[in-house]
Amino acid sequence: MCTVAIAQEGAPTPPQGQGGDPAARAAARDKRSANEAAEWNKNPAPQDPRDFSGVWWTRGYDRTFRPLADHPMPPGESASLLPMTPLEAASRQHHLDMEKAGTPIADAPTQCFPHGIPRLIASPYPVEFVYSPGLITMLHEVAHNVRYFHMDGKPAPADTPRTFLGYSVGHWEGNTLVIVTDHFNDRTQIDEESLSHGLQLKVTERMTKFTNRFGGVEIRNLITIEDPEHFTKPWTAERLFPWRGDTHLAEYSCEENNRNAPINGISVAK
Amino acid sequence: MKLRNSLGALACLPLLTGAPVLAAADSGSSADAAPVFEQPPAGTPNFTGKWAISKPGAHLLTANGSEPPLTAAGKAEYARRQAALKNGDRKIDPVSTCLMHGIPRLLYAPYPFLILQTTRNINFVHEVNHTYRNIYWGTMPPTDADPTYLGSALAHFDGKTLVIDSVAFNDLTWLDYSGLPHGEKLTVEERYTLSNPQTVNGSVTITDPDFYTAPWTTRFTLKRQPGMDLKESVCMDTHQM
Repeated sequence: MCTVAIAQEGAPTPPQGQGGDPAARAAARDKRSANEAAEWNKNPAPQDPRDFSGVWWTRGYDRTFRPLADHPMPPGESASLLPMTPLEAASRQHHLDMEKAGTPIADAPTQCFPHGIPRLIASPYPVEFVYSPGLITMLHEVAHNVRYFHMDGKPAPADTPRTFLGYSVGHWEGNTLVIVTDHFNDRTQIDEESLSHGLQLKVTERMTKFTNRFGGVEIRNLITIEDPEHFTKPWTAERLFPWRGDTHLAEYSCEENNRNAPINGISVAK
Repeated sequence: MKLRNSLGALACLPLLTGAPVLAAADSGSSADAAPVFEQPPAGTPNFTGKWAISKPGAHLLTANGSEPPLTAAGKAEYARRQAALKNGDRKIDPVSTCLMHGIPRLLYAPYPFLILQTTRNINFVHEVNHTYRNIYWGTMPPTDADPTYLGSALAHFDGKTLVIDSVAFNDLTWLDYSGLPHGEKLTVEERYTLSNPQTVNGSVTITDPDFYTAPWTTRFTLKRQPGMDLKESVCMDTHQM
């Protein structure tokens, strides 16, 4: 029942206490974070550090993936950290130019295809981990994306096809869930703004549960992107997923409002 | 368009049927071993696994093999759909444009699915167009939920039988592949019983006074599909549902 890519829908309300002095603003932010943590913990997260079962929801929406920096940087500035090959630099500029011209390049989810990885990880909708023997299933509210993390220690079968979400194999390093995904097709983007990938894309996610200074529980996902055609070296971005014991996933039908539905295999944007 | 509403979900917080049992998924004890996680309490039937319906794509009949008891309005709408299908108008079928199948039609799609049962909820994750149902434990789903393709559902155990009650459907789906109609008053009760570890004997009871003169029940069989891996199925690529 949701329209396509209305990112702001999932975003939290803007911070209270704007204006005034910085200390007062920081105090207001802290109070809000503490109140949120208390609300979201009423139905608490599992105690076991390796049990991620339940609902998590990233804050806000950042339509870019950028390498982790040692200090906060605006997206325009942090783009300089991207280790782009000449191919990717040209491709990125083309994306930016097309968007500036008012004819943005439609990425996969705009046409109700699965988002791709890591693109999906940035989506501002809640997710749920479901554990079963040998498998962790990750349900995404957005466009009913589903990821399967194969935890049985076996590599991808030889005949594994290339897909939007790839094939994921997981293992534990201490209390960190490590997911390696490859076998991607080349029909998705790295991020919504401008970054592309090819068939050699490999994504390694390292997810760790921790308690923040407000008592809220979060999963930190460190996402390492490798694709030698597009990047000169692997680089790592970060996303945080607060525990949300107060909510469940809702039904999301991208297809209901798909104005780019292909006719005879050809996409016809209106 | 529906805005995310985090408060609406509070009405269906998990209702556990017993104390959770902590179970290791695998026997390994190394750092690579699977984590400890909550599984259904001992003695509770466990439906977790890979399944497929034994007769996919079926036209639904009542348990004694007769046609469902359509009202006059139901007969008219069903006849309209049947005529369109006979004329080759496939677009009359909602799934031809990749809309969700609705319930119970989703169960009858010719694709396998996972059931993932935990103390938190029970999930039906279908291969077909990666459609899932995320059903919490409880009874009496809230009827004031916004109408959706898959309805608002809660699950509970009636003895050894898993029961899923669903309400708050939209009227955009068909009950089966032949075009059996329903409206927004539809309620569905699904019942799943393990007749042996590999087989589910199931039933679906349809109630919708606008389209059926009385509640009616149809029966189905599920078989486990060990060793099968769910594929990525993307309707927008194939339009094959």
